Amino acid sequence: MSPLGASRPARVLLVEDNEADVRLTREALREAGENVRLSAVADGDLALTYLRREAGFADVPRPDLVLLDLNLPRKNGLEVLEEMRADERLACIPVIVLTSSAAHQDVEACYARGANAFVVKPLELDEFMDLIGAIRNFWLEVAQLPSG
Amino acid sequence: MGGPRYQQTPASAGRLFALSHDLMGALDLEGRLVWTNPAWEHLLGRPSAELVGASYLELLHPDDRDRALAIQTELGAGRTTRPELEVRLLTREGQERWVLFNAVYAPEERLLYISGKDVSALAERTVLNSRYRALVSNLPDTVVTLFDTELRIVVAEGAQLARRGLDPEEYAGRTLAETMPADQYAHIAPRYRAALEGEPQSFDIDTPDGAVTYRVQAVPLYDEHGRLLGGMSVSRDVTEPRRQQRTMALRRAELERSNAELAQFAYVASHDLSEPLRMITSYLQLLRRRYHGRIDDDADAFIGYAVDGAARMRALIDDLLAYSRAGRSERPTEPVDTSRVVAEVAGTLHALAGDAQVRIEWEELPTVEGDAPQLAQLFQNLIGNGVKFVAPGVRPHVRIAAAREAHGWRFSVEDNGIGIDERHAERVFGMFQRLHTRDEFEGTGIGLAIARKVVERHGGEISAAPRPAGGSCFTFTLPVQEEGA
Repeated sequence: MSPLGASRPARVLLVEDNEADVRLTREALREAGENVRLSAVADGDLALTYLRREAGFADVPRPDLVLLDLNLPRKNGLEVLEEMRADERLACIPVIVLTSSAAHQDVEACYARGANAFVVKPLELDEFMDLIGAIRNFWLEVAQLPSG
Repeated sequence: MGGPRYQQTPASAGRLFALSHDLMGALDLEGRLVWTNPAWEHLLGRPSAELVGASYLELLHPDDRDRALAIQTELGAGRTTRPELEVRLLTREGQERWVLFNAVYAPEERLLYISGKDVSALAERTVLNSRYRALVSNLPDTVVTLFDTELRIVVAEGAQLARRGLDPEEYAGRTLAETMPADQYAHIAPRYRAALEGEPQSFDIDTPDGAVTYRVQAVPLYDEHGRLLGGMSVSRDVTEPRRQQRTMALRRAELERSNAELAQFAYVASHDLSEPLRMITSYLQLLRRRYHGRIDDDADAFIGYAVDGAARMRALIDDLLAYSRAGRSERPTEPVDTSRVVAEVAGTLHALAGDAQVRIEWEELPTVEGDAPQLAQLFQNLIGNGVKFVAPGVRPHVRIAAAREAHGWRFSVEDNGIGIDERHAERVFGMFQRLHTRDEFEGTGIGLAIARKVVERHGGEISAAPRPAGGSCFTFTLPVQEEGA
């Protein structure tokens, strides 16, 4: 039994500027199972606009989980994370930092700003698929999330 | 005291003259001593009665008379009024005493007042000791100079003087300032003075034409009573060593620059090339995953080649990163027991190949000064190389030994592998150099390049050669840290 309940699909926001990466994540989520709705935005400003339901995003539902790249145009991932944690409406949404950099100062900075996990994108497709499956299983099936 | 009476001695100063250790006296215009103080008698063993009225020249060493006469001539001609003269006086027993005279001419009295200081102590240790002089004059690449407290050169000797067409005799008696250009004097004089004050000096100086560099060491000289006599400088020709040092420094700077460039390139490679490569790899793999066997055989083969190519590119990028990191270390060096390093490497290779498949042997190996992880990588790559490059069906056999040499240890890693052509012995250490097809032996060809970099970073050399009995032999040196260095 999923903590989210079977009532509705899980909602995931992916903040990633590389279209190929977005598609790859979408494919991986699809292979991992049904019942996930993935939305994607390509920069940090748009991510915050989306999360605050401003501008063209007035009608979008609040996501259950955010997958956040660090290297983003306009506002980078760390800034997005900081503003989310400072905004009481967004502070409790789980954020998984998903990036190609394993620089230890990035890892520390992310956890210090309240990231829920820091994950490096694997180079091999199979491993990437496994990773996305693991994230999906834990965060959307096992973990109890705040009710949106 | 009941000494002899002195003619024309100022009465009030009589006691001082009587007490002085310095020779004091007066000469008339014919060069005869008119009066002398008791110091003459002490020094020369000749009573005043014998000295007064005697010709000054006759007291001098025959070789020094010309110089004394020349001074007299200059005085007479009015070209000098306060001459200085260093000459040898002869004692009653015929011994020589070096005396440095000052003189002042009193025209109204028509007398030359002279005052002489016994400098034999200094002179004996220097000018007169022909044995030392012969020794010094034959020292190669060296000039030895003795100078007094006024920076007057007492003696200069050394093969270098002759080689440069300089006459040692020209230097004796001259002040330092007379023997060199002003800017050079300004560089040297303060250091010689510091040496005279008891602080030994050590510095480099170029000859005015810049052709020769000397390493100069200057020290004070004392007599047996601890009184300062003067100083000694030893100048060694270090032109060639200094030139080599400059060349080495240039090479080191060049090496560091190219290493920094490589590190920069490796960073770019790892970060900027990795991302697109990850996309290529991921989508190729996705293609294969979804469409393998669903288009046709050609499509499967093409995708397969593309996947392999991307995988090889990934290996090259990883190896490039490994190479750029090899030999770079912020860690201080430490004693490393190479026996233990080799045992660990052998353990790993045994585990990979299965114990019965490879034979790795080593003698007692030394402890060297170095970076342990880097040295482990060095042995891993060399021994791994020997295990890998064997003909099909041959059981790899690698032997590691070390021998002490003058400046360090020479290690050898011998194998029974396919050997190495003498023509390629240098090439194998190049980056991504391969001597075989991928079908024969896999790998990018970075292992030996990394080995060379580690050895060179430790100040050693590495080379490869075929063994007469078959197989190849890699040898490399690792310097031993000097005791207390």
